[in-house]
Amino acid sequence: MKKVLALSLVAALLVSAFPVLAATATSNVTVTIGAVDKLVVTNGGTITLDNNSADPTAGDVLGPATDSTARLSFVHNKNVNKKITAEATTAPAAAGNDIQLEVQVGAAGSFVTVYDDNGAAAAQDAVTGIAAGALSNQVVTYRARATAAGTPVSAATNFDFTITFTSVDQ
Amino acid sequence: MRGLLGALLWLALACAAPASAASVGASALVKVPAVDLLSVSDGGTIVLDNAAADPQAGDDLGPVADSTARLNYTHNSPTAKKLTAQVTANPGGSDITLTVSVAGGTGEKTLVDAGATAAVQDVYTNIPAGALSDLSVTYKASATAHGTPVSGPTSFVFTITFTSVSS
Repeated sequence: MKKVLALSLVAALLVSAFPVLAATATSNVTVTIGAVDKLVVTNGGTITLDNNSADPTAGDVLGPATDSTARLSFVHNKNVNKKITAEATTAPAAAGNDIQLEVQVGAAGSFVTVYDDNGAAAAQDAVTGIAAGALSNQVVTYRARATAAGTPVSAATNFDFTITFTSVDQ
Repeated sequence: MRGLLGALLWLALACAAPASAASVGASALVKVPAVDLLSVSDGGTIVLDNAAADPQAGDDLGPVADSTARLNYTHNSPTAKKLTAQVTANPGGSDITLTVSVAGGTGEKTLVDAGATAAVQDVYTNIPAGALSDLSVTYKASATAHGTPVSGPTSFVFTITFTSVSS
């Protein structure tokens, strides 16, 4: 009996003496940063060259008139600078008009000519030196002019342009 | 013959007589070790790319979530326990923010804040003896385009260590 009691006591002591160990587990998760190169440009409005754009005392130039409806937003994460070019990829034929269309991105940007009396120009650098990050909601200003003699019309005539903006490694 | 019969009679009586009761105590040892079992499976891959970008809103990428991982935990301590989580392997070189939340736990906790490993976080508290089974673990990641520039798709692998602790 004594032996039984002694064995039970030892067992009880062994159970209570076991240290409480913390359990641990590891979990891995992978975050992949993909190439980010996203450009959004909204449509511009309508630029009207009419009597309001004419000053006969100064000649037959119509305009310039501007539209600042469009907005450009761009983000990239490349470790080299990028630039944005602009090109009139849909434009009226050069013959029959002498419209000059320019575009400016951001109030501090320079106007670049995307269409003139010779027709659509090659892609022009509209914004340069863009480091990784974002340009958000930049104002895009289109500026148009023509001459009465160079763009004769029988009635109000629309000249539609599609301007394609493209991001390129600088 | 009489002797033989007598012996047989005696033998029968001996067999028929109930044995006198004898008892002995024998010890039976039931061992209940401390049970403290934790397992957490790996998460999936969180991708931050064009789909996670909105240039009109800025250069934030994400957040994007993944809920692949599962947590299981059992303990038999008489006192409640809690589970903590901390990133123990951070590849660096990014401004990734990584959070974790365990279903039914203490909510979303930040493990990595703009690239910097955070302190140990409580992710589940007041766990009585018993089991938590197959709980969803949600990881969520975000970064910025300017803070994590890359030459091409680049993976950052984080290791999160979960630990059980007495509450």
